[in-house]
Amino acid sequence: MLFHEPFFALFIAPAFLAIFLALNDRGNAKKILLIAASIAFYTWGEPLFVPVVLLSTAFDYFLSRRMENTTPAARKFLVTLGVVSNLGILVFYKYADFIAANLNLALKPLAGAEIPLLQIALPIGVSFVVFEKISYLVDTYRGTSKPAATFKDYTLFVFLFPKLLAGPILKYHEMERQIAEPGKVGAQDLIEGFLRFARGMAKKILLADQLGIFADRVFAADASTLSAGDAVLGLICFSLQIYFDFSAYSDMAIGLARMLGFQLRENFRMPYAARSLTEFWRRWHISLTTWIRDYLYVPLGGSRSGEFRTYANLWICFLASGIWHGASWNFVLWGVYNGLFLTLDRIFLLRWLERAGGFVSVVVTLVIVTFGWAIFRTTSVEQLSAFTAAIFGQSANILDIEHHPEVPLAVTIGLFLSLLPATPLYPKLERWYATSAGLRMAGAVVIVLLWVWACGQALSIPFKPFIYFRF
Amino acid sequence: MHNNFQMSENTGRAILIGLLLVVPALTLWNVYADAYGKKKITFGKLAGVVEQAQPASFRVQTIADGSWQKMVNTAVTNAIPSRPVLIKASNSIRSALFGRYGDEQVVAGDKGHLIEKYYISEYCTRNLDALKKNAPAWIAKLKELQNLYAAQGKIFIYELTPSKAAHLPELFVHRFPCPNSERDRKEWLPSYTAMVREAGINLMDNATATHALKGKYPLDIFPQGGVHWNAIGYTLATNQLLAVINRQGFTPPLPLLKWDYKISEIARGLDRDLVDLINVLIPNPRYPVAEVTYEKPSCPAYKRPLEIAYIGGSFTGPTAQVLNLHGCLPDLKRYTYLYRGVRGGDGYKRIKNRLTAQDILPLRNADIVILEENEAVIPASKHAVEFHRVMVGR
Repeated sequence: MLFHEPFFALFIAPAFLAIFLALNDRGNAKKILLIAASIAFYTWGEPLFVPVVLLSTAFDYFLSRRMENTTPAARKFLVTLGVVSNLGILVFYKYADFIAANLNLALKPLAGAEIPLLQIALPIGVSFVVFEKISYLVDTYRGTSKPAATFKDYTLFVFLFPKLLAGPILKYHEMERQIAEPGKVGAQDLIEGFLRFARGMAKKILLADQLGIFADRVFAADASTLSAGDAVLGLICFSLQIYFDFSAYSDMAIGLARMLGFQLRENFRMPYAARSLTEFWRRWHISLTTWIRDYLYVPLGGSRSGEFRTYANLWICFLASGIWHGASWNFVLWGVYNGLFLTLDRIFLLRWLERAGGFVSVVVTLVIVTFGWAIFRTTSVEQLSAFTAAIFGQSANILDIEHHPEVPLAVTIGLFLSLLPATPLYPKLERWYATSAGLRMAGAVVIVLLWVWACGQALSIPFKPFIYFRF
Repeated sequence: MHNNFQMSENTGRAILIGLLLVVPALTLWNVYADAYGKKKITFGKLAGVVEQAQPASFRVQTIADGSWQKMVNTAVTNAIPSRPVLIKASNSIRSALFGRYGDEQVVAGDKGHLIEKYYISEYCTRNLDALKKNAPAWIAKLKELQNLYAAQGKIFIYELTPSKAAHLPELFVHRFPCPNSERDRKEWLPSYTAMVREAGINLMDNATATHALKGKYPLDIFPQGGVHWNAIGYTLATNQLLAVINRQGFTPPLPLLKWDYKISEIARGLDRDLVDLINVLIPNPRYPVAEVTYEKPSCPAYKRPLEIAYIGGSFTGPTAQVLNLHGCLPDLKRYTYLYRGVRGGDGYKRIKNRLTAQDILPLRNADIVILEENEAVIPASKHAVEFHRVMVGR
């Protein structure tokens, strides 16, 4: 069940919110309702995975309670056990076949038999859930936060449905108080939460999905038959699609959580206005970047152990980030690519971009990021290589790709919205918006209208009527 | 996190809860109404038909593989009361901004003419070489069918109906990718009909006959907002069928239709099937269409009720109705796409939906069989191939 589906947005969400508001004054009942609804929500999509998460949640909770009043060595053992068991879930569901396939390839000349592939469907949200559970164990181990007061509280943290499928990745120490005592929902929460949700749904359906149609077509085509124009346009469409799609999902999650009285941290902050790759990663999928910083980069030593070690740590972190996104060599390569430019940033690029001025630094950063998306979106090194050749006009036997009339408008709006924050005009517009009640009201009306249109669009996509039934 | 604006008034909260429950409650009612044949509460109505998904039963297996959830999701989504108006609003915006319709199978050509994309794709991929290779096998099967009926002294007629893309290619072809050659497009139908005639099949070529009408009436045979022929087109085609039946030695001979037409500026029914199918808020049915009136014929008396089967696709709907109601063939039954349903008899009423091969088998002994294929699905459309399989037994 996805948030932008009419089934959720027009049926489940309002019905659940009505019941939730009826219990607004009853903290404990509200908590139980939220847990039950969240587990039901996850079971709807991943019925076989939920028991695994429930058992693992109970195990985490048991370990965290045992960490209290014990020796440092035992605490270390318990947290290691917890982290390994969670990573075990991730490896089993996400990487087992990737590892087995590569081992089979590497050992083929030596061994006759092959490791059988498990062919397990990847449970949606597994990477997010596992990282959040690890944050709880590590926070408890470090003493950043106390173990959850009750199993109920920890279950709510793990299963809280607005962030369950695609983040933002919560860190336990940031959510501890809200989980223990969910706030009462006020009118402001409902209005702002709904507008945020509606904005996300409109972004997803009206913009990201339109861009995705052309991007999918380009990346599904034989890359060696793409014209330079189609390859570049396809890459731009994908760069905009991934931003508007992912940030839209975060908007919907943040908005929904807000309507339930929870405040989640922002996950995107105008990333395409960044003036360096280092800045880009402070603005893109912030909850993952900060998670990697807090739970991997810092424990590895961060930038405290000399230049060479810092570079190595950066590469390790971005390799981890790459592989977190998916089990394929392209994601590994994407991690390496980001690690390379972040290292170059530290060596000279950052200083050079600062001197080059705002326009040049934004453009250079955009080029680096956009080519990174080509690595991310292609499915093999061969496809990436042919796609890169196509960008530089090296394709033969060029085939036409149908251009939907929506694409030019969607690209124009996408570029405008993504790049406006990079212009000097943006801070003025922000101030104007903040001080003008009329403008905010007009903005709210526009968002509601776009949401209504998005609902219609979401309903019309699967509706493919015929005049008559045929044979 | 504490909020500045606490909800203090129970009344306000109760109103809000009530408002939040309106759509889910009406949706649940509609799900119930769908299941138990009650009246649904919806804002607006959608045109067109969609295949109903097979219901998934509530079992561990169907929950584990997600099919039950998918079925519930679809049923609930389809029951949302505002669904029709939201779809129409979205389609209207899309059509105004991009000239595209929600159902992307419907596209616009010049002069506001609508068409289903399928017809253009088919017209633009006609290939003479492929036709010459594939058609003989199918024509041999048609011959087998004809022989089956001829052996019993019965009548078999093979009818071809026209496609809008082939009739008005100048409105569409330049707007879409059209990879085949002009020769492929122009010679395809004549080549096929020549092969059919050469094989001795009793052919009623209402496709070529309709194309020959171009420019002969003050309005075109295919209406602007429809994909099927208009009343003039199907009335003329009906008369051609009656003439062919008579030529086969049918006695007493059937009188031809006496008819007249007037031009109306508002399209209705079949003349606006695509206008309705695009499901926009304000459809435009204002274009010239033909309205035909028939004189009451003096019909001959038959010694016994006749078994007349008319098997074909959507183009046979109006011709079957006219044959039945105005063409002295009240016994005629139309088998839509063979199995979809049968309609006919006195008053041309629906007799049965969803037929099986068992229902079709008695047609082996029919007095007259008209098998229709549209030129956009020849050679060997699915319903015709299946009819051959059931009749001939292989």
